[in-house]
Amino acid sequence: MPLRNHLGKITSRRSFWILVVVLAGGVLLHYCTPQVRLLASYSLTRHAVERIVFILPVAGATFAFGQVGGLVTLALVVLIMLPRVFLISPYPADAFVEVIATAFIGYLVVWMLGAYKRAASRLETISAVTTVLTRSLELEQILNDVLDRILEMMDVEAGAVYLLDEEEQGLTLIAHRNLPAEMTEGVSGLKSARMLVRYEGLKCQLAVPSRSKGKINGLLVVGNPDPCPSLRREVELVTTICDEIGVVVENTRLYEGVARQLQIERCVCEVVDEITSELELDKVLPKVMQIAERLVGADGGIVALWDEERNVITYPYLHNLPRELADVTVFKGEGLSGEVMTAGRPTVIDNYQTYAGAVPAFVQAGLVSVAAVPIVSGERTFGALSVLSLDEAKGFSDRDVTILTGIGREAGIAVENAYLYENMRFYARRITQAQENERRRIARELHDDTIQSLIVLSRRLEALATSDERLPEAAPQRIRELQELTGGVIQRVRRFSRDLRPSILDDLGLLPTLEELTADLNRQAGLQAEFRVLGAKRRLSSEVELALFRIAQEALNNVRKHAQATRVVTTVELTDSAIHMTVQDDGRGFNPPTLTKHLAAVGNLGLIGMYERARLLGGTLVVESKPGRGTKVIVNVPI
Amino acid sequence: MDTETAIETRIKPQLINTFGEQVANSLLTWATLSYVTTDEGDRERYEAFVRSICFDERVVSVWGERVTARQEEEWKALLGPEARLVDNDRIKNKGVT
Repeated sequence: MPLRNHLGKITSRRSFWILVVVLAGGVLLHYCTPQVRLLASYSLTRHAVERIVFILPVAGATFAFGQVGGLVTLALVVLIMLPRVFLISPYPADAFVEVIATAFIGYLVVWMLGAYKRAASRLETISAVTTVLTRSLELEQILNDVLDRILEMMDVEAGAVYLLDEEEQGLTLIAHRNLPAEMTEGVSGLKSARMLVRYEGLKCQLAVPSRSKGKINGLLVVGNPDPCPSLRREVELVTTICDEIGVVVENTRLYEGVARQLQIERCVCEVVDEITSELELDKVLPKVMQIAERLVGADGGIVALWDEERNVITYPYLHNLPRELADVTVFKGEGLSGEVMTAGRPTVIDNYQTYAGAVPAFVQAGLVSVAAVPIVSGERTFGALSVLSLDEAKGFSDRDVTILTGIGREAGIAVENAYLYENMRFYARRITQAQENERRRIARELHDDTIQSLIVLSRRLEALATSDERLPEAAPQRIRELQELTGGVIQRVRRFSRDLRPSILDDLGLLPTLEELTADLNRQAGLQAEFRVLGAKRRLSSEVELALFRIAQEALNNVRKHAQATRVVTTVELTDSAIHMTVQDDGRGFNPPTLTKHLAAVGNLGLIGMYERARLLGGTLVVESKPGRGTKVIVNVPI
Repeated sequence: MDTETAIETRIKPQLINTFGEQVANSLLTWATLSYVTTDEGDRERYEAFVRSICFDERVVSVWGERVTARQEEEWKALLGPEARLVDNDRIKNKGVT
């Protein structure tokens, strides 16, 4: 059956039938007398021309069907010529020599054309493989495509491509075709390669390493179930292809390395951004930990911090681990984090389950491989950052440790900044509190003493004006003027006292105070001031009420003094979790600075105070304004 | 003992025990490359595998030349004499390998 199929394939080709026609023509020429007479007129009487012409179908067959086709045709040509030599030719000895010479030349043609075809075919294969290799930088895709192309062009049935691990830790099977599952699934690359070269199903096989700059970086194995001496002849071709693969593998890895480096740099920038944009540990450290995990491909992460007050190490930030582990504490120097914090250098544990210093709770959580680095800033160690693998071992590389060490340092800066910020907030709160107490004292003094004295003075002046005592003629008029002056002073002192610390704020709370403040603005400045409350009205903590009052007071003062507005609306919205307050006017507006520090530069201390008061409550303050478009101050404070 | 059993049960554990997992993996990787690119029978491949390990500087520097040579012989002997006969028969029947 295979022979019949083979013959069927040959006879179905047009070149076969052209060869048949050429051969038939040659036979006619060789045995037909009129032709001989025609040739005889040119003094060619010994059929030498036709014998040479017979080389043409031999060359054609070599081109169309390879060397075997050429040799078969040559044998046929010799058989065609022999009857003339022995039966017709008047010079049989000469004719025989000519036939032998023709056969020899024919063989040379077959050999040369075969060699040419092989060289052309090799070039074609190399070109096809090169095309595939240069198509993209996706290594797995490239190697799969290359294997397909090699098998197709070299007429090989099975094959596999392995890559050497970058740290020489094994071979990875990247692509394979027509191999049994036991060699490709569930076995390591090293074992698979050894099994493959022992595989009885591939009687003929070739294993060639791929190299770049003389260093092996992969392996190509191709083979056929039947003996195939032709494959052996192609060792050089396969070696060339493997060298090309080796160069592409190295280039791709270099490209991946650069891409990875860029990604690392981006992530480090991300870490720095996080650290510089946030001053609260609860926000910074979980993000830093997750970035670290992403960079090294870990399953989870832990941040351990040194609790100086309790003299223990705690694990406040965990990712992909049970929350109960946050309650675990160990003494200084204990556990992997303790060890790393004490030694001040990174440590990698390949198998945490067998690690002598393992914390039992983490063993139970299923930690397998762990890489831990200290969180340091200068000489001070704050804790340790760990990334981990669960379920199966992951070899954290030196590169991973280098990345984590850098992140550990950034995290150290974050922790130090956060501690400094906490201290700053503490002192700011204390200063604000002291300032408020002093304001309250002065306000009370003004109210209880100064205003009362002024009222007494006013009453006495009134009494003097209405007394029966004889006064100089101009005196009543002067007394009335003094009375008016005293009344004005009383009003100004009362307003000043209220501005310093309105007693209504302590007695009735924020909302009535803001309502009063708005009404006062309406009366004084001729502004259309409005106050709105959204949500259920209620009292808030004195700290929040005082801060929001001061912010609203400063905002409304700004409207009165600078905005040239005709209308201002103050809105307070109370939700379950936050207070949203806005003060919006239709005044001339301005270009608000993008950063708080710019406010200090232009001397806008009132606005800085508003920002700081909002931040002290853990909230935010935003000023939206444009020249000619009014101003909106938005405050959000969590409860 | 066949090649794979010798590698997996004797050579690999011994290397991990002496050199640690990382160096052992590296030695086994290069030895496997020698194994697969040796163009002869399984015994010759196995011997190339053993030689690759025993000629490695990291091994010689730890074990010393004498111990390494003795270890090489010991590992080579793991296959036993019958393995050579079996391999040779297979090579004869295998055609081009």
